[in-house]
Amino acid sequence: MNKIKNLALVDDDEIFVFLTKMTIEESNIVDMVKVFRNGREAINFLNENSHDPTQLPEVILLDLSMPVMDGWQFLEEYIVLKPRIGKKIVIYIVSSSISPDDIQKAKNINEVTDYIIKPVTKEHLVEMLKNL
Amino acid sequence: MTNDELRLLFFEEADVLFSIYDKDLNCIDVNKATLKLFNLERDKLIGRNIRDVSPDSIASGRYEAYMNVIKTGKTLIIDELKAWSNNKEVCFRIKAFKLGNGLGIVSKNITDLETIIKQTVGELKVKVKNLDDANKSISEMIKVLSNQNTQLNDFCGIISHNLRGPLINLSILSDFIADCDDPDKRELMFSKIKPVVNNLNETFNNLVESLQIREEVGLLYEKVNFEELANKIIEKHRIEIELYNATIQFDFKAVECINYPKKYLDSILSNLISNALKYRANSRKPVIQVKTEMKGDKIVLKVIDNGSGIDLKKNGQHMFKMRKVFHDHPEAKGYGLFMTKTQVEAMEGEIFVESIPDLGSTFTIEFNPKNNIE
Repeated sequence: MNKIKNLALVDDDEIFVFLTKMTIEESNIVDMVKVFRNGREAINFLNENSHDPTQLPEVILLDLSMPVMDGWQFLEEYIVLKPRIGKKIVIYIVSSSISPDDIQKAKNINEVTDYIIKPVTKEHLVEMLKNL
Repeated sequence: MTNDELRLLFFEEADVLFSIYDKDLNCIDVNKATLKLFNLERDKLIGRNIRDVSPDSIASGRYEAYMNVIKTGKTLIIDELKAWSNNKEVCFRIKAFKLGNGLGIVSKNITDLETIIKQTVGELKVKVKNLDDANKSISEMIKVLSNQNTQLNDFCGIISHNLRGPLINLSILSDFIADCDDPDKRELMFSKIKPVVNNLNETFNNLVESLQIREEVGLLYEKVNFEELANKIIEKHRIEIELYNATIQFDFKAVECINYPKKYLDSILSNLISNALKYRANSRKPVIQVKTEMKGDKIVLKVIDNGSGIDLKKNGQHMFKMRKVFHDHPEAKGYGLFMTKTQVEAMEGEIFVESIPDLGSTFTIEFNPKNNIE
C-alpha cells in the first residue's frame, strides 16, 4: 500500500501532538513522524537537511500559533528556502482557528495545499496520500 | 370713491415712503409716512430741493445718481441707506425711478428687518457653536467606542484562539477513550486530561480577571508615591536582583505622585521590572532605569533596560497579546504584558515599547491627565 514515509508535525501543543501521533499510528499510513515545537525548529531542520531528501518530510502539518516563530513566519522563511530544497513537500496548515481571515490568508499562499481545522482525522491522512 | 380718489388715498396712507421730484430734484409731493420720518409739515417740504432736505445727498453721490436716473431712465436701487430720525438711526431700502420728467422714490424702512437679521445671525452663531461642541463630543465618543470595539474583537480572538485549542484536545481524548479497549491505554489517556483542563482553567481565569479589571475601574483612586512603590517592588525582587547583580535606578524628580488604583500600578510596575530582569542579556549586568516625566499634560512612566531586546519588526504586532511569546524562556507564559496593557488601558492610558535586539528595551506608559495630582 502507498504510504507516507516521512511526516513532520510542527506544533507546540504537547497533548495535541501526542493525540495526533496516535491517530497517525492507528491509521498505518505514515512510517515516521518527526515533531518540531515551533517554526524555528522546523525551519532549522529543513535548512540543515536541504540536500538530503531522505531526511526531509514529504508532508508537513503546520500549526499557526506557536511561540518563537509561528506558522505564518515559518511559511515566509520556507518560501525563501524552497528553491534550495531538493524535494517536493506538501504543507497542510492544521489549526484550531476558524477565522475566515486565517483561512483566506492560507488560500493565498501557493505552498499551502490545504487548511485543516483541528483535529486531524484518518480521513485527512488518506486525503494527504492522494496529494503526494 | 372713484378709482382716482382711491389711488390718491393709497399714496397718502401707504406705510412705505413715497416722494416725487421734478427734473431739478425739487420736491413735488410726498406721503404721510415721509412727512412723519422727516418730522416736517407738508409746506416745509414741498418745493424744496433734495439737497436741502437730505444734506448728505451730494457728498454721498446720491444726488448725481438720481440725476442720472432722470437722464437715462435706468432705475436705481440702494440696498441700505442709513439716516437719522427722531434721534434714532434708521435703515432704508430705496428705489428711485424716472417719473415723467422727474423722479419717483420709494423708500422702505428696513430697520426692524436689520435687527431681526442681526438677531438671527447671532442665534445661528450660537447654534453653530453648539453643533461644533456636539461634534467634538461625538468624535470623542466614536474614539471610545472604537477602542471598545477593538477590545471586544481582541477578546473574541482570545476566546476562539486560546480556548478552542484545549477544548479540541479534550474532544479527541474523549473519542479515544470511548473507542479504546486496552485498559493501559485508557489509563494513559485519562492522565492526559488534567494538564489540558489546567491549561483551560488558567486561560479562562486570566480572561475573567482582565474583564474584572475593566469593570472595577473608577472605584479605587488613591495618591500613590512612585518612589515608595518602586522600593516595595525592589524588595520583592531582592533575591533575583542580587543573583543577577542587577542595578535598578530611579528618577522620580519630575513627577513624584499619581492618582491611581494602587494595586494596578503595583501590578504594572512589578510586571515591567520583572520582565526586565527575566529578559536580561546574559553577557552583561542588567541595568534598569525607572523614571517619570511630564509630556504635555500627561504623566509618563518609563522602564528602560539593557537586556536582550525584541525584534519589533518581526514581533511588533504580537506584543501585548495573550500567550504570544518570542523567547524560549521557560518561565515565559505570555500573560504578563497582556495584563499590563489591560490595566493601563482600563485607566485610559497608553503603553508603547521601543526595542533593539541585543541592546535593550524601553517600555513607556502615558497616563491619562485625569490621573494627575491636582
